[in-house]
This record gives sequence, structure tokens and C-alpha cells, in this order.
Amino acid sequence: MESELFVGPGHDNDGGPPIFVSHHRAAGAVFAVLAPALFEEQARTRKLLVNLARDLAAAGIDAVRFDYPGTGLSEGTTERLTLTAAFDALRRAVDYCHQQGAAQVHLFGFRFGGYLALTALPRLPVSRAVVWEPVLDLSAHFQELLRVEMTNQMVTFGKVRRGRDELVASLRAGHPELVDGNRIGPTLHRELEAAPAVDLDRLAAFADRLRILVWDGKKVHDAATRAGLASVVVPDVKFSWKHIRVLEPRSTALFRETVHALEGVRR
Amino acid sequence: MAAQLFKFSNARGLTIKGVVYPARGAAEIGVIYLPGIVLGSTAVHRLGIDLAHRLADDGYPVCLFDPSGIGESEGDYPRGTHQELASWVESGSCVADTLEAIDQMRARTGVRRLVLIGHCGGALTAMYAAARHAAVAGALLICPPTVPQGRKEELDGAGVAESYLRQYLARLRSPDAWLRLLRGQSSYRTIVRVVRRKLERTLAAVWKPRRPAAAPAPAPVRAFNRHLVDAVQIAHDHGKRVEVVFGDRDPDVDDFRAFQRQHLPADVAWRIFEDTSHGFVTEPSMQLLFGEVGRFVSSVAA
Repeated sequence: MESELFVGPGHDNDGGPPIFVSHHRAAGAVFAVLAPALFEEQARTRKLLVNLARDLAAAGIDAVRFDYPGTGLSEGTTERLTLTAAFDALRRAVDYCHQQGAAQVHLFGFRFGGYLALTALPRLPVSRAVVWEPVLDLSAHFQELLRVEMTNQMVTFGKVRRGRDELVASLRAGHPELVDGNRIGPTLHRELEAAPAVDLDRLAAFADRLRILVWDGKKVHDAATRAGLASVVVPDVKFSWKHIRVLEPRSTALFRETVHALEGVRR
Repeated sequence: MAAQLFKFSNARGLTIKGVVYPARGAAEIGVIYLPGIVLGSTAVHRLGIDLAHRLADDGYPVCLFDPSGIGESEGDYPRGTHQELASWVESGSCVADTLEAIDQMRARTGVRRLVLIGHCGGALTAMYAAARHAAVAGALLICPPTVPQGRKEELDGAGVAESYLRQYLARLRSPDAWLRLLRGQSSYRTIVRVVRRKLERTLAAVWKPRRPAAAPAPAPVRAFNRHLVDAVQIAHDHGKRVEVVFGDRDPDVDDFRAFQRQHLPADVAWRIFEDTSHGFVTEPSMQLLFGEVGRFVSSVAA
């Protein structure tokens, strides 16, 4: 059974609009919160996370998906999205699980959601974490969004009309800007630029509770392995968050690895 | 007013999920927005959600939903390439759920008539459904693909090939792109085909003037999507308003121009926006689209 609802702001420092939450119900004891990717990556991989949540529920784990404020089905606009609000949304989703009687809450993060999961892991009441292709550096991630925007301008106008420097200067001056079709606000830009990169070495203390799954990010895998973290390169993953040339609604091998990791199966 | 989540069980027993953005006060006409391909109602920079907020503010309730197999709804769309999935949508796979969603929308909001707005493959679904449901008063087709996707290789389209070429050129100064190329992570086959097609077109343009003058060749007969042709005609014959908007930078705009000449009834309005790509990713193109959608819905409601 699945329930969809809007979860309102909490009581502490949380001014964001209500967020969309989908609860894929199972036994009601062990929960997993699924933190999605951001902007177009989120839309391209939505069905995958819906199906991952359904598979988790079928394996006995209550899965809770959510959208960041101003993204997906959540209320608000992308222009008002901030990194703080995204962390708040993750915390709200974890709180929701505890309110539902969760004895254990696991955390799953994909791309941007992986950054949130890795960053929040030390301070959230969660048991295990699995991340797919995590973004480790939000500043570099923003540069990648700008690169896509430059490509969009090339395709639309035949040339770049507003370059990276102009867009960044405008954001720094406090004006929202359209980047790959999503209006990014100056606060989010400032936060992305200033956010510290994930230091995998500092996560060594969580090595027995964390698993990193990659299929494209060899660099992330190498860095995680050097830091003593459990990282697995999953072969034959067909879908991509980068484009829509191949759209897969599910990835059996990846789902199996994820379910096992959240269940704590050591292989 | 706050968005209202809803779900219903379709004729095949699958749960269909969606959201209604209510209008302030009673409305006689409502809107269903149908996005392209299989990414669901939140796709393409939340274009549908932005439109929904604007139309709801103007007094029209708007419904977004995911047909079975897509997004939040039950079922899976088939695995495949973008083209294979475009063919799946083109064959009408989302129409039955759209017809049911129309009834749901009428029951939930009390509107008697509806306008369907579809983008890309969603435009095909909108047109097919508009031809079949009596409550649909109009359909606005945003960049509808007019040539069956399964019948052409994507890169055979000059517009698509040019679009790829521009993207490759944009990446020439990207160290990451060069790294991907050298590591074998790029599609060499696609690059070679794009460059080869560009050379072929360039050479053809160079050689053409030197050939002896001959009678102009007849324009190739295009195999347009017959279901789309029929649906437009049926809706038109039933007095429903149909309009089309396209972007001049859409790779399929030439197909649409030919389709318009051959098949669009004379009184079906169409517009081609300047400096507008398929995805409406720039501020001016978005504003053009929002303006056009608002004008269309209010003209149908009038």
C-alpha cells in the first residue's frame, strides 16, 4: 500500500513549504528514507526511485520518498530552494518515519541526495546508508549545471549569449537565474559554492554502516576505497541521470545490491 | 490554494496518481497538462507545474497525472531507447488513462469542459484523447512529433544532426569532454555519423550549383503519423479548437512545417516561436509559451 501526502514545516528553523512525501508501506518497523537527485536528474530518475521504493517495501522495508521544496511535486518554486531547506526536508522525512513508529531508519541517497546523506549521516538518527553515484562536491556540481546551460544556449541560439561569468555575477548580485530551465536563487547558489566537499576519510568511522554504489563514477569508487569505505562498482547499469537516450524504469542488479545493503547483508 | 493529491484505479486495475491545482472560485473549464515522453508530470524543469500555478491563478483548475507505467503511477513503461519509448507513447499507450483522468477531473472539480495541453509525445496523447472525449473543448499541441518515431533514424533528421553537432562543438573546450572521449566513454559511432552527415550536407550544397539546371525535384512524400492526422481532423470536424506551437530551434520543426502544409486544416492556428528549442529552457521562450497557453485557454473558455 502506498500513501501520498504533503508534510508541513517542522517547529525548528524550518520555513520551507510543505514537501511531497510518498510512503510505500511494509511492516512498519524498519524504514528507509530515499533522498533523490536534483532538478533534471531528479525527473529523469523518478521512476527508478519509485520502483526502488516498491522493491524495498516488498522486501519488508517501509520506504519513504520525498521531493525537496520547490522540486518535483513539493510546493514552492525552484527559485526559493536552498541547501538548508533540502537538509530540512531530509530531516522532516526522517522525523516522519519516527512518527510512524520506525524502530530503525536507513538512509538512501542518489547524486545530490547522496551528498545530503553523506553529510547528514553523522548527525541524523539513522542506522545504515547507501548512496548511488554521490555528488561529493556541490561547487563542481553547480559548474556541471552551468555547462549544461551553455549547451542549451548553443542549441537554442547557435551561440552562448550569457556566459558562465555573467550568470554567476548576476547570482552573486542577488538575482535568480535560469540554469538548465530551473530558476536558481542567489541563496542556493551561495550555498552550493560554499558547501564543503564530502571528506570520505572522515566517514571512516561509519564504514560498517555505509555502502557506496557506482557504475559511472570510477573516481568516487577509488576515493571511497582509499578511505576504507565499502564501495561497489555495479556492472550493466543501463540508465543515466545525464540524458534521456536510454530510459530504464528499474535496474535489477542495483536494486538487489541496495536492498541487501540496507538489510545489512554482508557478502 | 494548495495542491490536492488524488488517485484512482484504472480499467486495468492499476493505480493512477495525480495532483489537482484548484482554482479560486467555481470554474466551468479545466485543464489537463500532458508532458512528453515517459518522465512524468514533474519533468522538463517542472514546466507543467509552472503552467498549473499560472492557470489556477487565472481561474482554471489544472490536473497533472502520470499514466500507468509512468512516474508515481503503477506499472512500468517498457525498457528502451528514447526513440522506442517515443514510439510507445506515439502508439497511444497513454490515451486510455487520459480519457479516465478527464472523467476524474470533471467529477473532482465540477468542470464541464476541458482543455488538453500536451508537450512533445504528450501533445500526441492530447490530440488522440481530444478526438475521442466529448468533454474536451480544445487541444494545444506544443512541439508535437509529426513523423512516426520508429520510421526514421534520429540522426537522419537534419535538425537533430545539427543539434548534436552544436552540442559537440560546445564541448570542444571542455577538458572533461576530451577526457571522456580519450577514455572511450563517448559514442564514437554517433560522433562519426554526425560529422559524416555534416560533410555530406556541406558537399551537397557546394556541388548543387555546378550541376546543370534541371526541373526541381518534387518534395519527398513524408510518412506522417496517420493517427495524428486523423485525430486532428476528427476534433476539427467536431468543432473543437486545436492550435499548435513550435520552436524554430526544435529539430523537428521542418517536419512540422511540411505537416502543416499537407494536413493541418486551414483554420487551425499555429505559431513558430523564435529562438525557442524543444524544451523551452530560456526565459523568453518560457514567457512566450506561458502567454500562448493563457491566451488559448481563455479563448476556449470564452
